[in-house]
Amino acid sequence: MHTFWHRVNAVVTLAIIALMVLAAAASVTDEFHVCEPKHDVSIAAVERLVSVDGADEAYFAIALDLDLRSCWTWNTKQLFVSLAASYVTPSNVAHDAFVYDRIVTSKTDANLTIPRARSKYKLREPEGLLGAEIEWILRWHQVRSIHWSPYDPVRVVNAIP
Amino acid sequence: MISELCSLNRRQLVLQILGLGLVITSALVIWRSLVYLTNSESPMVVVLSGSMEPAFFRGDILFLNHSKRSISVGEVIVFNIEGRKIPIVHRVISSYSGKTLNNTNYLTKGDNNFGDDTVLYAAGQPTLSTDNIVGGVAAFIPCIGRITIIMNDFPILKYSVIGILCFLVVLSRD
Repeated sequence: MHTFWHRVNAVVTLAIIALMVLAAAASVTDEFHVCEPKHDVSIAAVERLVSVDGADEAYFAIALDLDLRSCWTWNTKQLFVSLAASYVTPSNVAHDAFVYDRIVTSKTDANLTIPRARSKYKLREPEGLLGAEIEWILRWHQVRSIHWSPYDPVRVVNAIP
Repeated sequence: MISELCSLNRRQLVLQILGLGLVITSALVIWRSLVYLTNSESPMVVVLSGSMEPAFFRGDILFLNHSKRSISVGEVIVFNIEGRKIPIVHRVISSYSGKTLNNTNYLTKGDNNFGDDTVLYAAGQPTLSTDNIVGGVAAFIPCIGRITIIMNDFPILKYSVIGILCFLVVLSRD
C-alpha cells in the first residue's frame, strides 16, 4: 500500500503546498509597508520641438532627484520608474505617454540624482504641442519576487505639482 | 506491465478508464472556471522571450486577470496580435483615450527592448486596441514554464510523457 514512491509523492506534495502557503503569507507583509518617496523633478529644457509629417515631436531634458529607497521592500525584484507627459488635445483625446523610464534593481540605486536626463522617448502629437497644458506624472511599478495579487498597481504621483 | 493489464477484470478496467476520464474532465472544468473568474481568454501564459528581463525571464508562468475595467500606463499587460499565435507580455508606455473606454488605444514596449512594439503589431495597426488585450499579471511562478518550452521544442518528448502518464493512470490501483 505505502510503497516508497507513494511516500515520496506525499512528502513532496506537502512540501510544495506548505512553501506556497508560507510564500503567500509572507508576501502579505508587503501590503503594510509604508512608502514615503521623495521626488523633485523639473523640466530643464525643451531640447527640440520640430514638425515631422505634420506632427509635433518634442525632446526634453529632465532634472531628476528621486529617493524611492523607502519603497524598496524585501519582496521587490525591481522598481520600474517612469516619467510621463499627460495632456488633453484640442479634439479631446487624453494622451499619456512615457518620456523617460529607468529600471532600478537594488535599494541603493533607488536613490537617483540625474541633473540632466535626456528624454528616452520623443513626445509625438499630430494635433500640435504648442499651448498644450502638460502635466508630468511620475510612476513607479514594483515588480515583486513573490507576486500574488489580482491587481498589480502602479503608483502614481504628480511629478511637478 | 502487459500481464498486469490482462489480469485486470472487465469491471476494474471500466473503473480505471472512468477514473482517467474524471481526471481529464476536472482539468477542463478548472481551466474553464479560471477563464470565467479572471475574464481572460487564456488565464495562464508562459513567458517565451527575454524582452521583459529582468522582471520576467523565459520560462516564467504568469497568471492573468482581465476583470479590471481600465488599464493604465506603466502596467504590464499580455496581448494578442492578429496573425500571431503567441501572446506577448510587455509594458504599456503610452495611451490615447477618447470619450469612451472602448476608444482607448495603447502602445507597448518590452523593458529589455530598444524600440517600442509598433513593428510587432499587425500591418496597418499602429496601436493596440482594448480587444487585443488578454489581461494583466496577477500572479507569477518562476522557471516552471521551462518544461512546456522544452516539450514544445521536442514534440516526441511531449507525446511520450502524455502516453506514460495515461498508461500509469490506467494501471494504477488504489
